Amino acid sequence: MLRATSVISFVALLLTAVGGCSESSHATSTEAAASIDKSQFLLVEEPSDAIGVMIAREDAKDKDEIVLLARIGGRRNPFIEGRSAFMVIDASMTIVDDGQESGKGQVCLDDCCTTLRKESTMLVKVVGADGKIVPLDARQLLDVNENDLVVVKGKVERGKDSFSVAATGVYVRR
Amino acid sequence: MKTLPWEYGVRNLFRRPTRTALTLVGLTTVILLIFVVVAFIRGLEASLAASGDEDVVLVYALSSGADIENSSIPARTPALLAASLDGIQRRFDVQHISPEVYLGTRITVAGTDKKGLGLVRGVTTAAPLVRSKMQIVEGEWPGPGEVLAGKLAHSKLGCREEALSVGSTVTFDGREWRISGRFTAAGSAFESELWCPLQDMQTALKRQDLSLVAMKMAPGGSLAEVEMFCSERLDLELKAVPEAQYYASLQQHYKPVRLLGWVVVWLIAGAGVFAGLNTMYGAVVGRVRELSTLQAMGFRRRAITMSLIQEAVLLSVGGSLIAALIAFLLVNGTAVRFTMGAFALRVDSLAVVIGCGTGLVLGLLGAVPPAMKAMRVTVVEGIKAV
Repeated sequence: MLRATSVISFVALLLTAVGGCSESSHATSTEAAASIDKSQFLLVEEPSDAIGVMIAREDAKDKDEIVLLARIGGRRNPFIEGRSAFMVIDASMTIVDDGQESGKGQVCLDDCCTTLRKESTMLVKVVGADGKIVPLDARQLLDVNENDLVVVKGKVERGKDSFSVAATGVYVRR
Repeated sequence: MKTLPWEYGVRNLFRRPTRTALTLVGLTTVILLIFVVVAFIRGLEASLAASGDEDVVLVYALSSGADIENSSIPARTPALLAASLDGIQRRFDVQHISPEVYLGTRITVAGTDKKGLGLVRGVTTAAPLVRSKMQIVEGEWPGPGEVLAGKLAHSKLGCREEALSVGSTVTFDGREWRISGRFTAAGSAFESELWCPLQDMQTALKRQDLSLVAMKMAPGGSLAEVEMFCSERLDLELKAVPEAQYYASLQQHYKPVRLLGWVVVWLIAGAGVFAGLNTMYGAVVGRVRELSTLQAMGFRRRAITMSLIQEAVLLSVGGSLIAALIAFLLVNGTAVRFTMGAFALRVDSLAVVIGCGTGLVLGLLGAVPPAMKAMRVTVVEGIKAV
């Protein structure tokens, strides 16, 4: 009886330890998520005068404040794991599935659409007050998914060969 | 319960040497087949699992799908990555970043007429920093016009191992290359490749671009950092994939082959059980009179059944051991060619457990039904049986 009790206690202890470990790692990511005030990045009202990705790429200069209307997408996986950054595509364009030919207003992921893809997609980085990217997955921070329409308010970061927006606020069209 | 002596079952096996030998050969063949199939599956799995390093990130063309061979990225990519990312492993001021050209091409081995389809990787001296499992086991790092041959490259090319010995030559892309050394890579897919200096390969192929850049990330570095770079520099058309994930996706391609392998294991085991049953039926039916005599002498049916099972298990365990020995000596390490390179058959602990376990089950299952049938015959009928 004593032996059986010891075995049961040992197993219980082991399970508690294992459970404890997994809980603690889960808790760390949950704590990180909890410490970020998500409401400061989510806009309650949709900003006006939004422009599309293609126009922004053509006209916007470095450090310009812009309002961008775009659809989350443009890559097989548009979200950057663990960071509040995601690819967007011009709202008038859609990405076609592998092996399918693209028509008007569509772009594929093959070589044939390289130029069009470059012109119609860009990276959006959600940044905090310190100007650094928020270290939380955009799906968690903004509760968004692929193909969601978003209106992004932020500053243009244009380099010689790069173009992105450092967003301070995002409005999600539901 | 009064049981039959252990020696009785053992002696019985030697009383009918031909039948015993035939049964043993049959069982050994079945178990050996199981060993071969399991070794194939385990070898394939091990090769793909060993090829991916958790800390290594591959950067290649966005439009190349899942195939690095079709990838073409600008030659300036490694320099841009090195300048833009902080998370790349660095030691003694050397960043662990390996620019590579990778392609499948027809290769002629000196002394043979036929051309084999081989895999060639153009590398710099940074490659072993990123591919840390790579180890030169013979010869030296390739100089201009030289290649380093992987341990299983001969299998991929369909030639003898000696044909790729240090000092011999191979011809591809209109150039003759001397083999400067040989390397191993912990059983990974790299072992079926030929590695040559990147610049020489670019010159031979008349191309200036790269197929991929492999980077070893420092403990603080992350894939997200590389993905951010690829997403910002849309002009380069790049994508970043962890090496382990890349090879895991390839393993998915081979899932049907692995599934088929396991189905074959079950089929062979099933066929083996039926063959064993057939043999044991023959063996027991011819001994009905003997078994009834044992009953008349006072031995209980259960004791006789146990003795029959003992005989069958002895045979199957013997067959398992012989099959395991043959598998270790002849099957283990044998190179097998497949589309992505070559891998070595692996008779590992799982293969031994499955092979010998099946052998044991064959002995147990093969003996029980015929023994039960023989025990249903009454003692009088049994003694009268011819």
